[in-house]
Amino acid sequence: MALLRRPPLMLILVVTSQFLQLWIAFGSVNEEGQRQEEFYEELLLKPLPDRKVLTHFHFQSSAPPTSNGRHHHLFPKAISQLVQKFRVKEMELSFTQGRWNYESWGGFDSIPSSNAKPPGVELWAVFDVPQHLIDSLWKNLTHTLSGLFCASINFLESSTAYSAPEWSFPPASGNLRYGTLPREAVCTENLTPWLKLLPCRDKAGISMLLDRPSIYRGFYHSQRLHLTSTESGSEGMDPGIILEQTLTVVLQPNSQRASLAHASEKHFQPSWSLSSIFGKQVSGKCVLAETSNVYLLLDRGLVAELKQLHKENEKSAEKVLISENFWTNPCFELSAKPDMIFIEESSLLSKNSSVLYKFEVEKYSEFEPFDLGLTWKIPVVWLCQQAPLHASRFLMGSGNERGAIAISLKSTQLSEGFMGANSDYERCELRVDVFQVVPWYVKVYFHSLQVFVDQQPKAVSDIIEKIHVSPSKDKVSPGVMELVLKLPCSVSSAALTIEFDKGFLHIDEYPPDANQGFDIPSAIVSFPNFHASMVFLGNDSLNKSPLLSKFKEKSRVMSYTEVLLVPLTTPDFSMPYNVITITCTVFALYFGSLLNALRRRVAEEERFLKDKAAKKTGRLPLLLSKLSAKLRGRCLEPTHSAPASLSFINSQLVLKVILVAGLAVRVKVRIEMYADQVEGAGKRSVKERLNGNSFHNSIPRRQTTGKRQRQDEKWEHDLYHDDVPQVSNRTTDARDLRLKLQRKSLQQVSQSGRGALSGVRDLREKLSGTMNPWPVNADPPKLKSDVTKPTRRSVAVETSEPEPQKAATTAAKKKAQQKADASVEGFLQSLGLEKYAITFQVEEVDMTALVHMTDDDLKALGIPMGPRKKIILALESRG
Amino acid sequence: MIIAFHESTPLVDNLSNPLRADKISPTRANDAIRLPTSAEQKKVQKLLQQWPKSLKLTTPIPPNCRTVVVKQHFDPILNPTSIRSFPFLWKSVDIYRSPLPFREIDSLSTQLRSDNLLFPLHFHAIFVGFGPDPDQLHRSILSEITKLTSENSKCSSNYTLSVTLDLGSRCLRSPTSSPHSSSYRCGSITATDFVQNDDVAVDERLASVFGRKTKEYSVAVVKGGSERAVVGKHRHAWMVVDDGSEVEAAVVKVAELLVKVFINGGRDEGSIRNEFMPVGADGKIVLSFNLLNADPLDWVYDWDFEKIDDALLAPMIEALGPVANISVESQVLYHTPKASFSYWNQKLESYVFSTRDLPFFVNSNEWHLDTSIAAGGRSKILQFAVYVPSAKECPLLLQLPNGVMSKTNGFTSPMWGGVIVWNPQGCLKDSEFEPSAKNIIPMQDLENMFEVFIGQLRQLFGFKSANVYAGASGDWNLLPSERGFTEWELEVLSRQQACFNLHSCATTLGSLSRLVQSLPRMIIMDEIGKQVKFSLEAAKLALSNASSGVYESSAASSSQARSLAEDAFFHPSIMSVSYYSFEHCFAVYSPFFLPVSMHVVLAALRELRRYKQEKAKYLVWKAKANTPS
Repeated sequence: MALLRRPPLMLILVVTSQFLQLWIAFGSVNEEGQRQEEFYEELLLKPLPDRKVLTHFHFQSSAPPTSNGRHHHLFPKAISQLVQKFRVKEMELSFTQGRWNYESWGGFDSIPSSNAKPPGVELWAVFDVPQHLIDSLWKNLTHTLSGLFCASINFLESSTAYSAPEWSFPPASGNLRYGTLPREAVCTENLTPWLKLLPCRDKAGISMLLDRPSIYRGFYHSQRLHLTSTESGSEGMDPGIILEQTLTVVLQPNSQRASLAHASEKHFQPSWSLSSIFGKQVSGKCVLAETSNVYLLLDRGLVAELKQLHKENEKSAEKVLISENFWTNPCFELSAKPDMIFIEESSLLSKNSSVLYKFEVEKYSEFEPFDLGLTWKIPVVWLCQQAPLHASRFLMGSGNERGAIAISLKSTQLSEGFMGANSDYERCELRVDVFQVVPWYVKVYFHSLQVFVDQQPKAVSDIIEKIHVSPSKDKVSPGVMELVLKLPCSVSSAALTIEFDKGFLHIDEYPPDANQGFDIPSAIVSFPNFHASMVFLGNDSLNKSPLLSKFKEKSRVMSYTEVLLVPLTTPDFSMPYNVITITCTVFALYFGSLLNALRRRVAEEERFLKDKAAKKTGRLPLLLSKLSAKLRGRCLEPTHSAPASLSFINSQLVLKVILVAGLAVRVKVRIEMYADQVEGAGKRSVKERLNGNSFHNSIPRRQTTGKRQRQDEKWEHDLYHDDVPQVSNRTTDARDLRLKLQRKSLQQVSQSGRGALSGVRDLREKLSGTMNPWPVNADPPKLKSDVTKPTRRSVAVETSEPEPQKAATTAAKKKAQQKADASVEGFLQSLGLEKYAITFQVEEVDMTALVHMTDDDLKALGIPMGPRKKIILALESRG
Repeated sequence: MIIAFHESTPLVDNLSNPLRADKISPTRANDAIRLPTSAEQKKVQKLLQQWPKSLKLTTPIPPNCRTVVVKQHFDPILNPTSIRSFPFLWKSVDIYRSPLPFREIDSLSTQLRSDNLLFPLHFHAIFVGFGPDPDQLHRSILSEITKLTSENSKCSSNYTLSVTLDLGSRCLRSPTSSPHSSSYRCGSITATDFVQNDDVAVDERLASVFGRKTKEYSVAVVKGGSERAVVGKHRHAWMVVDDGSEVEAAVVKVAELLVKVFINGGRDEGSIRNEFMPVGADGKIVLSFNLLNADPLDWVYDWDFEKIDDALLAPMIEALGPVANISVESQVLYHTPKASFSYWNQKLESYVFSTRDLPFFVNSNEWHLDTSIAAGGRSKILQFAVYVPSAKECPLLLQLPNGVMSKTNGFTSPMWGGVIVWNPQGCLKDSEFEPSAKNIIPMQDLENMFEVFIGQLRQLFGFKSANVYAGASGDWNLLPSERGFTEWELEVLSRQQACFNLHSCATTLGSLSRLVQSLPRMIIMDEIGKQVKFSLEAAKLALSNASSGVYESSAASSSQARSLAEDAFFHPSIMSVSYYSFEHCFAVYSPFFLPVSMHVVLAALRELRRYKQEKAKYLVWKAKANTPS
């Protein structure tokens, strides 16, 4: 071939006739016969004990190692590019729907041990690269596969989704990555790209049977793709690839006999044919396939049962089974004549051997399609061969906090045969490998691992020979547990339990349907001492069948447990927004009331309200105010009438103030937690802010409270000058809040003045966090404070409470009036009569009033004659 | 929080004592600062001693202090730690943005936009046996060239022309001759060289005369001999004219050759097809060859692709190296019927598929040509398919719109690829074909097929598949190269590729910089910054190479610039919307700011109303106060 590539030979080639060329071309192909790309298609049918039929499609394409892996004749280009790009040494991808029923469909044959897969997607791959590159290759591989097979395999990209088993997974090596997606739904979208990898797709050959509705109606179907790249002999050669595609379907044939209501009929196995279970027939082979065969397998149990039945009837049962006209034997009838019959090489383990019928599809054509049918003549009951232990897994515990996983292994009792093989029964040990991956949010406590053998707790070290654990890291990697158990052969049941806590997920880690629960992938329980293999006696043509050579391989007996569904606490996903909204509302409320309190000029408003009330004042408010005044035991000035409505209106304000006070108390508590007494200064400042202008009477304080208040004062000046009749209430502003509270408490609590006072005090004490302008903590000497505190407080009460009612005005009031009456005073001063100014002030006479005053009025004020005349004259001269 | 300390505890006494309070009259009240008494000072000192360390004094307290300003911890806003923590807070919400060279990107695009990319070209015209005025010829050729060149293209060329009159013993050169043409030795071309009819031999002879290394396009006009005009495989052409013919006609023809063939590559309008260059954004092309067996039940054909790959495709791929990085893959597919029907033509004894049905020929449901994992994300995949019809429709012929059967029996689809229908030999005769036997397509047929494929690839690149250039002033025979593309064609492609890549790179970078600037909260990784930087560097290199006339390396570095720019633009971190959306912001903050703003607005309104009222009152009072006085 190498010679042929040389130019001189090429020239000869061109020159020679076309025929010669053709011949040489053929010759070259034949020359390198082993370098051909090959394709095989096979189908295995097997009746199952529970009236179902197992159909197992097996397609194999192989590409030889070549120097130029970019050109393909039969082998799918996509797969070879995948292998080359990601340096895949071995890979298996399976899509499964349903669960393999190990009890009734068997667990020992090579079909269940290599084709029974966990539900959803399972992917593992071995890479031919150094360790540090594997993870990035795995990630790219998952993306490519997810594009190739229209599945969400790319979810296996995240490091929380895959693991690297050390030794318990069968093709274990450090370069293996393993991941499952238990929840992936499998459908036609996954099958079509899988079929695209076959040269004939579903256009011809056995794959024509793949009728989508009947496949997806089945009890179990698993679509699998396994590829192995063979080592290329020399450097620079691309590796050869063997691609094995299998589709395992368990179908329930429609039993036509059900209509023929025979009482005994229900014991009959249903009869079936390819056309009845798939609705299609095979019209010839795929022309590209090397071989295209259909096999019918009767397993050991069934053969033994049939033999038993035969013995009752005839003597030479053995002969009948393999005789040429077996296909019309008394137990069942085959609609097509098998081309070959194989009997399994009887193994040590079992006395019985299974029987295999081979049908060559090649002989059939479109006009004479192949349709294999099996009709039972007598009722047969048999059992499939079981794995030594039946594994199942379940969850224990309740609640959303913790739980436990239990893996229970039960002896199938059908395996005495294998046990018997070991002569030394006492020392016989059954080795079981368990491989379990748990997602990180199921936090397993490995110390809590307990082992029970025959319902008796055993020391872990007695049973577990080897354990490898890689604990999960939150949001980084799943937990992996690999165990080797050594159980006594006589074991009837064994159980492993391990406790876990349920973790919390971040809000964006929840899947769309979080309430469904979270899946714990299947555990793999394998029995390394047991190998499923079937070796059929026959001629060499069998070697060409990949399916049968697959059966011949010693594969370890394996079973997958159920997928567990763990409910995790699922948050209300609107919660963050609710929290935000509530918090913001509270803050806004707080801010609003604070702003209101700071902004408010209570005195002014009160006056305004009073004014309003005075205008439309009826009897009632007046009476009420008089009453309240009396209750305080003092005479109320008529202008001081505090309308009852005021307190009602302001109740809202009071509430707000209480709210603010409450918040302030909380603030205070918080502060006090880490501040000592001296910090009281700071506390005061908080109070100062909260109280706003409630300290108007403490003049030095006012001086420092800032520009705003000083400006306020200026406004007050203006007001005073202007609103003559309203001046008298100046003093109330200082204690407005307290006053209001007092009034309220007066109305609410009791009638007596003493009670009112006490009520005031109580309220004041309640509000002391905000209201008390002299914080107790502020007293520097501690000893002294004990003495001064009570006195101070009483002083405060006395000074603050009765002032507005006193006839003798306080200093503040005086000050205000002096200011406001400046004109009268000045007027009097100009006349040298300032000593009478106080009289005018007492009577609240200002310039306007003075102008209108007659001699008699002045007399009534008690002004002597001389000054009286002077005033009147001066007024006349001014006017 | 700032506290004026001097108004602390002692003032309690002021309130308890009305007399003292009285004394603090309004006039005193305006006096903001009161000197503390010595007792008060002592108290302050004591207080300060007792204070926890967490309270930090901004200044040491002088003995005669008036005001002590204290900052305290508990205030969440003005607290020093919170102030210090602001940088951290800022850092935590800060978004990493790698600095991008916005100015350089802008300068690149303005540079490309404002002054057109000028590729220097040198032309050399040699006239053998013509009249004695090279300057006259020089002028007339130049004027013809300017007539023909259109100015609308993005990338124009900056050409120089030199004219040599070979008079056998000596040469007359036009004064503005370029340094390249000086290498021409006089008398090396004679009319006798062109007597023979073998164009290939003449081409080789001229190549040896002009030297293969020169970056100069030469055209030789020879008087005497049978009339002929040929463009060679390298950078030269020759024209043989009658003895009696005028020099003017030759001048027009030469000018047309230079402009239409050497500059534009023999295409009608060079700039139109720029956007349809079938080269991926990463500068790669994957040629995917498919052999489609429509119905393997009738016959199955296989091919020896490796051989043809080595023989025919490899030289072409090597030749196209500077333009694109090409890789080849092949597969054989089965059960791939075409999507539309053909009809039986009795006269031709074959099935005929008309042009108007061609869009329905490719059956994308059954032809699984697509998957190429080997190709990167932005490589261009060109599909070439050999369709082997089934027995039901064999032989299948494609009919051109004018009713003539297609000679190549194939068609191309721009930016997709090409299809050839190959009818197997034993198609018509009802020879007993063994259905499942694997046949091999004969090598001769395969070679023919791939020659057609190369022609189709030329078409996809915008060249004519015919070997004749029909200009306005006459036809030129184009010598085909065994590599598929002649040297001058490759240079045309290189120029075009460099031009297109640079423009595309500038556009991509420009939109990236606009995108980045418009989204101030978008994360920009360092990798993007690096890619942009390298892309700009490659673009600069390409520009400098282009201006110095090194087309191949210019094309290579320009495609690198483009692929880097695309990488930066399509970086996964940009693709994911990683910026903080405004809506989110709104949803989180509106529950707080809406009620708060309501309070603020209400307070402001009240204050405003009050201000107005009081102002009115004040004005009234003022007026009143003024009138009496």
